Amino acid sequence: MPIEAAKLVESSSPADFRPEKAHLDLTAVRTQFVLGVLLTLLACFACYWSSLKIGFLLDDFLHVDYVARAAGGHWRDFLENFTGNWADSDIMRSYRPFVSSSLFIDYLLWGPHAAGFHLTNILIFLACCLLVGLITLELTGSYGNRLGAGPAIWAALLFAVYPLHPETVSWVIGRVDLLCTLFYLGAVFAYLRFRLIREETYLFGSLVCFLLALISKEMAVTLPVVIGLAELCLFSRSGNQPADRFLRISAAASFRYVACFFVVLAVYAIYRSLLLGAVVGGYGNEDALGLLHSWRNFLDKPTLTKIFLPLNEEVHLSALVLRFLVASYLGIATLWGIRLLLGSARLRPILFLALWAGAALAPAYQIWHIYPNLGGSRLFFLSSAPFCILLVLAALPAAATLSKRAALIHLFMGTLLIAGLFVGWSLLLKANLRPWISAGQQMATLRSQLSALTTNLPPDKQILLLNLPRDFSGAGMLTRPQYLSIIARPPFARKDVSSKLLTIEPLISGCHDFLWSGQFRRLIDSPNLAGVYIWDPRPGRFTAWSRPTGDESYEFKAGAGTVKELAPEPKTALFGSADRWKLMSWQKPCIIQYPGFLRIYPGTTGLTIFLPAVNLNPLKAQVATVEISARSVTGCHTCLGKKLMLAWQSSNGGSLGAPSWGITGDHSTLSMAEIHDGARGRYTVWLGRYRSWALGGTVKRLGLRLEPGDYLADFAGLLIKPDSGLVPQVKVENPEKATPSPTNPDQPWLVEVKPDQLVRLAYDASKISGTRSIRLVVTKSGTTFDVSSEPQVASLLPSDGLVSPLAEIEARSTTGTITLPAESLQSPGVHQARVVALDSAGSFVGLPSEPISVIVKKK
Amino acid sequence: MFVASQSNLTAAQLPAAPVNSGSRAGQLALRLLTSNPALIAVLVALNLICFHRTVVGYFLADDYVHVAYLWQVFHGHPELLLQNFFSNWLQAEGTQFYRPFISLTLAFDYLIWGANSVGYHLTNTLFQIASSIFLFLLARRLLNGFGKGQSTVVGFFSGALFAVFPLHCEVVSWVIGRVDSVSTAFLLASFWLFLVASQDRSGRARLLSLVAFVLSLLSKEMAVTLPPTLCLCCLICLRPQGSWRERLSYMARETGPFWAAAIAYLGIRTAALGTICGGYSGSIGEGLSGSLVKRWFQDGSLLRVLYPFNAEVFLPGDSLRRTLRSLYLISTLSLVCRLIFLRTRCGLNRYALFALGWLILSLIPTYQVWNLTETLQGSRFIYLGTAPLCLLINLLVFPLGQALASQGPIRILQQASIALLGALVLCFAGITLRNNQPWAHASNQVRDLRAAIEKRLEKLPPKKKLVLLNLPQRIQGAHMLYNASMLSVLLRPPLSSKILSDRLVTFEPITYGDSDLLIVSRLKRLVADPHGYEFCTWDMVHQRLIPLSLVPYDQELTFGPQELAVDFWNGQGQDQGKPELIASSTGLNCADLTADQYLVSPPLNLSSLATDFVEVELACTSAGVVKRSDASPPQVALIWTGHPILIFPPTNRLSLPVIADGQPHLYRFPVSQRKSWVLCSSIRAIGLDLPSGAYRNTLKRVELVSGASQIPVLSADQSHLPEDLAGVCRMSDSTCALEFDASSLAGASKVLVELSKPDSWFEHYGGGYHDRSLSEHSLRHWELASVQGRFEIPVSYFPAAGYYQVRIAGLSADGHMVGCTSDPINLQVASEQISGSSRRAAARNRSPRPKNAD
Repeated sequence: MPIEAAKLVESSSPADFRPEKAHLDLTAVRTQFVLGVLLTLLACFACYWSSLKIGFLLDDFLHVDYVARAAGGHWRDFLENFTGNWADSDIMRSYRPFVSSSLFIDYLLWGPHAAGFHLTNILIFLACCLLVGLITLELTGSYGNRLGAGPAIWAALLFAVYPLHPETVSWVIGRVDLLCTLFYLGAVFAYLRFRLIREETYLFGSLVCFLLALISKEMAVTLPVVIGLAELCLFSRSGNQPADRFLRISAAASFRYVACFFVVLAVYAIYRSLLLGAVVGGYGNEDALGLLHSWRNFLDKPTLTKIFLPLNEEVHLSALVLRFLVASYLGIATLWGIRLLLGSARLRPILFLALWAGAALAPAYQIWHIYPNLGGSRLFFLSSAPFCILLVLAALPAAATLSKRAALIHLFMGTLLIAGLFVGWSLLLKANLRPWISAGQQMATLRSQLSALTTNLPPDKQILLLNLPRDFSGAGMLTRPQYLSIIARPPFARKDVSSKLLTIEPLISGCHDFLWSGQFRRLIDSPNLAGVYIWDPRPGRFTAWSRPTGDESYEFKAGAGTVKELAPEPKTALFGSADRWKLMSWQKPCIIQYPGFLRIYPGTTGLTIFLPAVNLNPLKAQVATVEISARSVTGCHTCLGKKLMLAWQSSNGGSLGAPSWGITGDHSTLSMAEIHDGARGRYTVWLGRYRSWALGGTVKRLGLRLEPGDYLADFAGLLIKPDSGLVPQVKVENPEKATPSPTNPDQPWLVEVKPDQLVRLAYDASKISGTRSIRLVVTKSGTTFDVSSEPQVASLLPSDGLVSPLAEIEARSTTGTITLPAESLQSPGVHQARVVALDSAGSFVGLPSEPISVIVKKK
Repeated sequence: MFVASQSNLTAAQLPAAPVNSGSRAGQLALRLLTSNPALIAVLVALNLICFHRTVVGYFLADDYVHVAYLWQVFHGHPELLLQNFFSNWLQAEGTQFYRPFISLTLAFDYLIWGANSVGYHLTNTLFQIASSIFLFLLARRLLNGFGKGQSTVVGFFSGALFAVFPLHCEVVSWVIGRVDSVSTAFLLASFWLFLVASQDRSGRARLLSLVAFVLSLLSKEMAVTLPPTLCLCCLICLRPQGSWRERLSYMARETGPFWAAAIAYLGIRTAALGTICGGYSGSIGEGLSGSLVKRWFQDGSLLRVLYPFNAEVFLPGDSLRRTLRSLYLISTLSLVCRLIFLRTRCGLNRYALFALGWLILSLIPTYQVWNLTETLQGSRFIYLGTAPLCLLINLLVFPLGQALASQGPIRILQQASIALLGALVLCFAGITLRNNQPWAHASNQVRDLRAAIEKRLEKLPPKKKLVLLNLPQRIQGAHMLYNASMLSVLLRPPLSSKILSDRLVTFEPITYGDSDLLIVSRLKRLVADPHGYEFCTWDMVHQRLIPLSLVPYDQELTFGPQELAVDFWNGQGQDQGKPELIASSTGLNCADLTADQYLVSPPLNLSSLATDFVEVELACTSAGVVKRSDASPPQVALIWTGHPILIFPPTNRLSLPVIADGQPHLYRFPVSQRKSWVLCSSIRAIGLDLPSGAYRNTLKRVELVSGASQIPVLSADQSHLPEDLAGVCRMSDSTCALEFDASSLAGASKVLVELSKPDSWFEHYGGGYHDRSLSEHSLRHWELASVQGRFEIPVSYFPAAGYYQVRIAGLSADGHMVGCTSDPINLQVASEQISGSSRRAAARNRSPRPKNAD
């Protein structure tokens, strides 16, 4: 032993021992990262603290309902998530039992209190942020990083404030993506760790995480590909050293590890296919060809823009913030570009992250789209992790290839840009969260209103709720009658009042702009009805709905002198008489009065002409016929397809949330059906199908909208009248066998039957002039006529365009009974049947009947 | 990814490629893919992909002149081919070119393919392919100092860009466009062989180079740019070092034979043509030289070379426009970054300077004819120029440098540049594919026209003739048929099974001109014989013949102040932007009109032959400060429609400048000389586009009048001067006799006759037939003492063979012009009808000019 050492040992007797003074070594990566964890924790809670009071929204009710029943001892529905389609969804096939399990645990912990569920979401999100940081640490550590945990902390912080996340974090059922991403990131991190230190425990952990991610959401199927990409882009033969060549193919040994993931994926795929009966599932396109056809979805420019500038367009925020963000992105790109040119940028990690972000989106090919109000942004949640890391690596010189001075300049500039991005994103996130908080408040109001309305209701009385709230600027609310039924019973309500609530919503989720006016009239005429309430989105509450009054028909003839009774929009439209000199315009709309018709040139702005004031009862005046014909610039007759719309103003139209001039939206453009083809076009629209027509109150004014274009239209007149002579009548003939729905006793058009049970319908189409026979159309299970606006009635028939029929039968007589084909009712779910009238030539006349909905129960 | 095809190259000579170290088979495959045959095959494929649509194209426009010529050559006149070597090309009138070799290539095609247009297009494509291959070889040879790898990359992409360059459609898809491709192919071959000879000291290559140069010269005059280009190459590329004396001596030694050949060529050409310059002569040539600055530097003509989109094919927001813009932007950024950061290692080099010089040299000979329109008409003039341009683009984008392979950033930059050049090639190919569409459509339309005429003539009684009032001239910049002689070739053997041209009457310009003009007096003569003629018009949209009913009758229509009261109601209570329209006893006062507003008449139903002039009496005054946007002189425009619906086609418009002095002025629109008016058959409505903005107008009168009292009548004596179906009169003997009648012109006491210069047309200067003043461009004019009668033009008045126009105007007793000029008579004078003495007499006989009418 050397002398100095011996002295040292001697002097360090227990009595003299004084522990070294504790100090924080900020240069240590571990210390830095711990600080980063604290910062991330702070950022997560600061951003999402307000979401604790949002409550349950939309699909949350469905899932909390069955876990609540499971907690109460009724396990069947909960357990079915492990053996079949998730939550028995009627619009999607998926397998996500782990999500149901986590909700169940939450329910055990928190009961029906939504704040607890939200807290869990935030904690999972925090874990995701930390994993993002850890993965960044792995990536930068492998390349001679001189910045310690800096990039990792920034990546975690950026992920925490990325403004596309509210749909995932603030919505309880967004947990699907949270859990999937958590385990996905966990698997990636564990794999990177395994490749670094070669401990097989990490590989095993990675595989377990992968499996958990898979049973949380199918988006995780891309993990083996991402692991393969990591092998290609990041690792070399020696394992933990950077590859020495671009896209080097690693040794075959490395791919054995990748193969493990594919094996897990294969096992999962087989198991899931056996349970669901389909390999792909999801929202419809079951074939891989769908992926090829839907590649355009991924190139949608507005969606791609939303990734970089993720602002909900229905929320106000200064455009300055967006400009600031653009400048930050450009700055980051420039910094990276300069390093690239100087040869000091690392391409491989950037390439890996870009490929990962892209690959992680692939499973969403059926529905990939981010709407202007950020609906669908949850689909980018997983990809946002590599996206954030990529931005940080592009901004900060994580590689040790720069000179010290250059590295300092780059570090300073990069940090400045990333900090700018962090601030910008935080502001956007705050704005994007506002709709979710408002939606939560409105749902709380709705539930308290329901409680108040049903408390003192006599036992045999019901109330009708019109227009259930769909969403608030992208934050989903209620929409489906099924969810209304759930919130009207425990644990969401004190007692079960669901049987007291009636709605006009379609059975299958879809378009909510239409109703069946005949069925609606029967409902409001029912003696059991105690009140009708309509949802008014502006104050966010139900208000009493009053029955409209007014005339049942209206006619406008464009005769001589009528031109000056019209009000044009825009007001700069020019009027003139055909037989005189007149002023016209190359751009502005013009209206020329001819004997018997108005010639309208819509110009480059388009034109809406409003007819003289009317007083129409929308529940009686149902069908509009417009006499109008169009010609192109060459003088040929042309179709007005999607260029003509009918507009109206109702007495209480504002309460529908529609603009006061209720121009029928994009889906309701009147490419109108030519019921009677003639020298001059005769177009018909079934106004009674539009909610904004039927529920808006007495119609006060009517208008005709012509879209811009190089054409002219000769408008001769408009006739609005009841649909009584146009719609065949249909009802269920054998109700004693097909019992009416217990939840909807006042709705005989809705029947529940057992498989193979016969349903006979009585029909009467004799009042429709020209009818010689009828055709019965039955839809496939899960498809209905409800979503169809049916403005193009005749052009859509006989194939019905929007739905592919399961069966069609023709009957020779105009009145009688007809039995639904047995084979059409064998598959469980909702079917609809309706009758259309045919003339002697087999062409369709009139309008189709209102549908009979048949719910076929499971065996 | 490119690697050298020869194994003796070092790695430093190669552009670093992202090569996988993979298997030997992979390396072999890569080497095969980048070998010469493979690269040439790619160039061939690129050409075929871009121009496959027009390989089955048809003859268009000037092709018909050559088809007729070849028919003659192969039907007993082979000497005509030889004649091209010592006289004007095709012995044509109106042009002076020396291109005998082109006729030889066409004759070769005719020998093999006859009148089958596919063969001719195949040959065109072959010359285009040859040009791109020679450019590849040339560029590679020029840059071989940078190593095989780098020079191959630049060479290949130069060839590839040339193969897909979007301005080549006119040359490749138009048979006679081969003038440029043949010349360019031989020029590039000559240049390449020159480099081979200079570098390898090969005498054979030098001889072949000279031969190729001579062939290029015999194809198009543009080839004279080769010797100066070679000089430039010697000074900048081949011998950049040394004293100037040494360098100039080297240059003289190397390029001497080419200069000698060029001088010999110019001598022979001058002897053959009788002029040094040549080109277009007559009023066409004068029109071209008059707009020289505008054609070069205005309307974005030069910019279109880099941004070669046919405006009628590509809408403003087209994705390919954005793509090309982005690629240019990336290229520019890459170049700027390179110049900033890597200037010393791979900045611009002298070769880029040479490419720029070559480009300028290749553009110089086109100074007289350069005009690259929005629809890319005239793109053939830049065909040769695109060769140096493609080389220049490559040199700007690709970082060339010595021994660069080991330098990381440059390696990455080279790889990125290869990707960028690949993207440019793909983008150009996409543009070319679409730019070429109109040429395919044009071919189809000409075929359809011939079929429709054949079908229609079959149904007509044998003695009845078909009058086709318009021809499809062009579609989206692709030429079709410009005049009657082209149509005539189309309708007779070898393109048609029998002679149909003798039953078709046309109203097209004799050679070139405003296709909307029509000599209405000639048309009225035909309309007066309904049993002899059937009238029709060609509908370009639906590609069919439409029968036309023309009814000649006289009717005049006047809208005075009473009838001009406008029924007008501008919305409800809208004050802003509301025009002021007040009817008064003096007329209609219009103010605050916006540029998009116009007045429209009540429905009319007037034969288009009933009206010669629409007269508008208008007083216009500037009501305040004229906005900067309204700074252009105010104009009044007449619009019209033949359809009952009030939509006015943009072609149906005539404009006149307005005198904004507050005084009423008469604006007279000569409408009957417009096909767009006559083809309406029945005029359903007219409209007036008055000066808008700060101008106040008082519209006093609108009148649709007949020209009987304003237009004197001139007609050829058919016994001595018969008129053919295209409206050209030729002397049957030596008598050029015409009849005239100006008696209906109030105040006319004598008549003045105007004779145009050879191959000149009055309408090329005046814009129409019915001028209100005498032409300053006439060859001669003389007075006739009476207002009605017959006169003869002495043959001695015609200085040379060619086309002439004769027209008359009424003169008052004091010598002022009365009314307007008559419809002209087109004459064609053959050389044999002119004697030497008549030429001298023509020079002596010049009479004093009369005064023009006020």
